[in-house]
Amino acid sequence: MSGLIEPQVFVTAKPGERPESCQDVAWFDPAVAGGPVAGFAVADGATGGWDGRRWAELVVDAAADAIAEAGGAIDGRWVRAELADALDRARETWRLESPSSEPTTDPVAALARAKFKTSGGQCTLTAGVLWAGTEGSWHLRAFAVGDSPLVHLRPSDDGYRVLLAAPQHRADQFDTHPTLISSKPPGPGAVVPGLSAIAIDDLAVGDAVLVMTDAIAAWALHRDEVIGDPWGVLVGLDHAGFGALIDRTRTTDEMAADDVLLLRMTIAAQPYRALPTVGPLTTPTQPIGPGGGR
Amino acid sequence: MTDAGSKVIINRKRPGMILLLIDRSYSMEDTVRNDGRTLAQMVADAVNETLYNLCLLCIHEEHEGPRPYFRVGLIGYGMSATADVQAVEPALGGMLAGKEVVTSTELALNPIRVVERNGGADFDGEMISVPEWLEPVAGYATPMCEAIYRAGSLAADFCANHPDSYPPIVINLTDGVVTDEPYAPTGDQHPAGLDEWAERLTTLRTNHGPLRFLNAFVSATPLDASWFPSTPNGLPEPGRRLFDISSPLPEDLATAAADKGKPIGAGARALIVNASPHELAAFLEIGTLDVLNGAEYGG
Repeated sequence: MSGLIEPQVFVTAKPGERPESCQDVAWFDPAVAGGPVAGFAVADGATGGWDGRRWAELVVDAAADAIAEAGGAIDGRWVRAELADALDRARETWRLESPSSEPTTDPVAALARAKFKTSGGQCTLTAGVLWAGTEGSWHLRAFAVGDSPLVHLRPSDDGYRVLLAAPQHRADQFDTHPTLISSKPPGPGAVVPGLSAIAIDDLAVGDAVLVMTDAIAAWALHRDEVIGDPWGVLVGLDHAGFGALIDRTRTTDEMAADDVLLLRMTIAAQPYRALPTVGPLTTPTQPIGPGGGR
Repeated sequence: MTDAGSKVIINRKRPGMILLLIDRSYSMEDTVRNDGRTLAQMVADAVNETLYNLCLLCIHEEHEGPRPYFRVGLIGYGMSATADVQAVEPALGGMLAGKEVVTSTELALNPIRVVERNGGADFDGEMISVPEWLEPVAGYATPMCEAIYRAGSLAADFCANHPDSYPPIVINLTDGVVTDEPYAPTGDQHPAGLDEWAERLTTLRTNHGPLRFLNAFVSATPLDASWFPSTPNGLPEPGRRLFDISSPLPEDLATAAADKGKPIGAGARALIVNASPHELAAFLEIGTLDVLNGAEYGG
């Protein structure tokens, strides 16, 4: 294998929110089940539902488990088998963690039970795998539900150009009602509703793959459409730069006052070295880089 | 959807405001045909359901509790809840008695009671615990002008302090004819009629548009409710006056109403006349939860 995937996760909560309330969650494993395939997942918990962060954690965990169970080989069959089974297990865990259903005179407990039962949890999911091909290029397979898009970037003379952005590729495709993975079981025949498949077979050294939650994705796509290349900024970000970017764009209302997560995976030229896993349960008191554990 | 043309955001910094004006006049003691409840009880039940659903919008985690996404005020006009006198007064009871406006957090934490009831299909028929905030009260006349004046004072403060918020939603629930016009607040030498008080109210606005003033006329003999009428012609009294004081239906409210299968004509007003218990609950749902459904909550 030539090259190296360098992952970085940048994450921050809504303005004024406690870091642990951030409902955007990411996972990256450079060697799924000890093999040659790297796995990743990003989920954005819905604010309107019940405990969006917890449901996002469970769904990212489910995606990670499903990818590991398949040894990194994900396709339509994997969605119907390993991913569907892992999401069922996540729903069972969710159910077991439900608020008490005993009669109560505590209004908060009463409201909690009702909200849990009627709304449940919802989140986006973009999950996939990367591996090096024998011909020198890299490959990516991913599945996405909701509006946490994946963007494939390649260096160009004047920055970076987008080779693929999916499922969303325009800023006006973000609204407040994306399709989401629900804690409620899907209807008959709908294993994972609203799923988009993503395949890339020409990843090259120097390319970057970004997976972003909606606020920063909408900002980047809008900037790309109206002003010009935001991608060089995102590919070059360090944690201090990420914080400054978020502060500035929130102040000017360019970026929505939402949780923000950016998972950046760069195909670097360095020889392979082992990287630690980035875990979904890491409390984002600081931007997450390679570190932590799932 | 809004004057500002931007997405509606509801959070701690940009809370929404909902004011409910509750007719507590003598005729609210009338029993609703084919229902058995008094009009006052019917209104209290509908208001309690609305407040319950608002609180549900605001809770995301049990340990955190409900968030202060809304400022909520209940103004009763007619019989006082605490003495045998006519009054225009805050209608919340228990720990919130006397408070004109509370946050949705304070509201959720301080119902007057929590009752058990069947949760219906959403709860597989299980019994659920549901908070309630409003008691039915009826007696005396219908000082609607003063109630609108009081609502205007509260809404004006809100608009000044939260210019980027969704505009206040004010809903008047009544079965009767105004009895206090012309009305002038203490110290004001210029009495005004119902139309003028309503006009003053509806000129209030935030950057997202004008205050929404909705009216619901409830009847003990509900027949053929008129939803969002486009003309006052043919409305039973006091339908014409309520038509005149109700907001022209803003686009987001029209969309919410259409989504519930209510046909909206040109010039429609934010009004229902002859609402049955079921229709009153649906009207409140459209005017509050449905119209705010497209908002982005959080923070």
